[in-house]
Amino acid sequence: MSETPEKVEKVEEPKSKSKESKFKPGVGVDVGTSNIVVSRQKEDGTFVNRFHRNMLYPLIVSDESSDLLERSDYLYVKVDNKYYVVGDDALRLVNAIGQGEVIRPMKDGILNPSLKESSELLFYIIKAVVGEPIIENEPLRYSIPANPVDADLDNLFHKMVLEDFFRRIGYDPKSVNEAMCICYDCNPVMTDDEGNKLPLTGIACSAGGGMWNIALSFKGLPLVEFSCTKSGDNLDEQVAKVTGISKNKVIKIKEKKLDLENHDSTDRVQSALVIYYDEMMNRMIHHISEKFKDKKSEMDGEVEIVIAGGTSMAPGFCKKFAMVAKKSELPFNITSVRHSKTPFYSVSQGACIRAQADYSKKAK
Amino acid sequence: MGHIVDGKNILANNRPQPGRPLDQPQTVTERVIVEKESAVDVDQLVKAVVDAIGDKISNSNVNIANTSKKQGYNDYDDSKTMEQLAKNMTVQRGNSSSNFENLGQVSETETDKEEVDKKIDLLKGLGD
Repeated sequence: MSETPEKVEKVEEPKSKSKESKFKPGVGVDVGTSNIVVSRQKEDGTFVNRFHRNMLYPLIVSDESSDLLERSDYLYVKVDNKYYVVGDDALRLVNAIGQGEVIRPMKDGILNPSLKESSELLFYIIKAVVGEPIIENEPLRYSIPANPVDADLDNLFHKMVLEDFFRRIGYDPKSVNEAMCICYDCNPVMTDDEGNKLPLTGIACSAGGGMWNIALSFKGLPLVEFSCTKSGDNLDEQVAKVTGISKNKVIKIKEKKLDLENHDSTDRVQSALVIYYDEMMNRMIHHISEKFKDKKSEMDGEVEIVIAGGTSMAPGFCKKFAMVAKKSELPFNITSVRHSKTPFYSVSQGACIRAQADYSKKAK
Repeated sequence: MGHIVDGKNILANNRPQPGRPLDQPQTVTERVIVEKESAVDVDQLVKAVVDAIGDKISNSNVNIANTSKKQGYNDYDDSKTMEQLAKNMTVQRGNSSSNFENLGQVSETETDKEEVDKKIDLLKGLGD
């Protein structure tokens, strides 16, 4: 999924140290397959989110390419005999040149193993998006996916590489599960049998481009965390295959026209998208049911599901997910399915809240 | 016919299989030595199988609490190796550079400060 927020301000100029001091210590970073998002909180409570599209366009070093980059304001990293144009510029350049394709330093939520320079490139990008710490050893939380239940992927190496990046920049980094970040940001509430409301207790789902991350939380403590592949990107590919329409067009229709509650049934792409969304939601609910069934006794009440992430941004997503959940046999009663107010920033904001808690703990 | 002894065919119950020579007659002592030498070392066999397909053995991928590692057939901790590997991978090479110091676009979201502070209070009591 390549969804980005519609309203954004202009690229921020580098800040001076005095300006940065208005932020509370503790920074959250969402290093996603499609975007890198960094959140800080100001003293008045407002979150300031900085995001960067996580894509690259490679150009072989030559007189022509050097001349092109000198005459333009494209941002790039040079490694050996290649320039890698970064961010939205990568997309603009590939469209202008009409050749080659955009590549990503990340794949399926972790470092792209087929790009040998991925860690080096990502380091430059992360350093420039995250910026310097505002205090010595400032606590930083970065999101990582859980290992998937349906693919042979291990996130340990990815986690170690990112931790090393942030330490080199001067932070005190710790990882945090991506779905738990949504829990910290959206605060699901469980109502127990006596009517008491327990904060940070419920199910959190991060529906990203590459995968879903799901967690069951009890008062902010993760009881179960897992992830599943075949999320939004897979959905685009499948619909492109069955309709014979290019993936780019499918994405465009999905982002601009699709309403899951009220789609145009005469449009083949929209109809196929609705079917695949339905299949994806049923698959996720199936995994939730399987993974959480042993935790029924620990969750003595009705729980809320909170959802965020780019794949959840289609209109009608949460209502449809609630209907699928209602029809299924889940181990707990679900009170509601709630969409994050800021689905694009929820992971990084949740990570920021966790980092601020780390700072408060340190300062005690 | 050298295998007829006292009118009996001594190979009747010991015919060679195709491609397999007839075992040489052995004394009891010789047989014990041969069996000992050819005995399967189960430990070695298990180790070889685990080395070969260890990664593919079905592991539970459910992460309990903050355990991000797979629950495997053993609890060998490879995090130190991974840490070394990660450090090695991120050593900056001399011939790389970039033409930017800041990246990204900025957006602000309003929040309820009191609610965030309550969450921070709750979370600071938790472990890592």
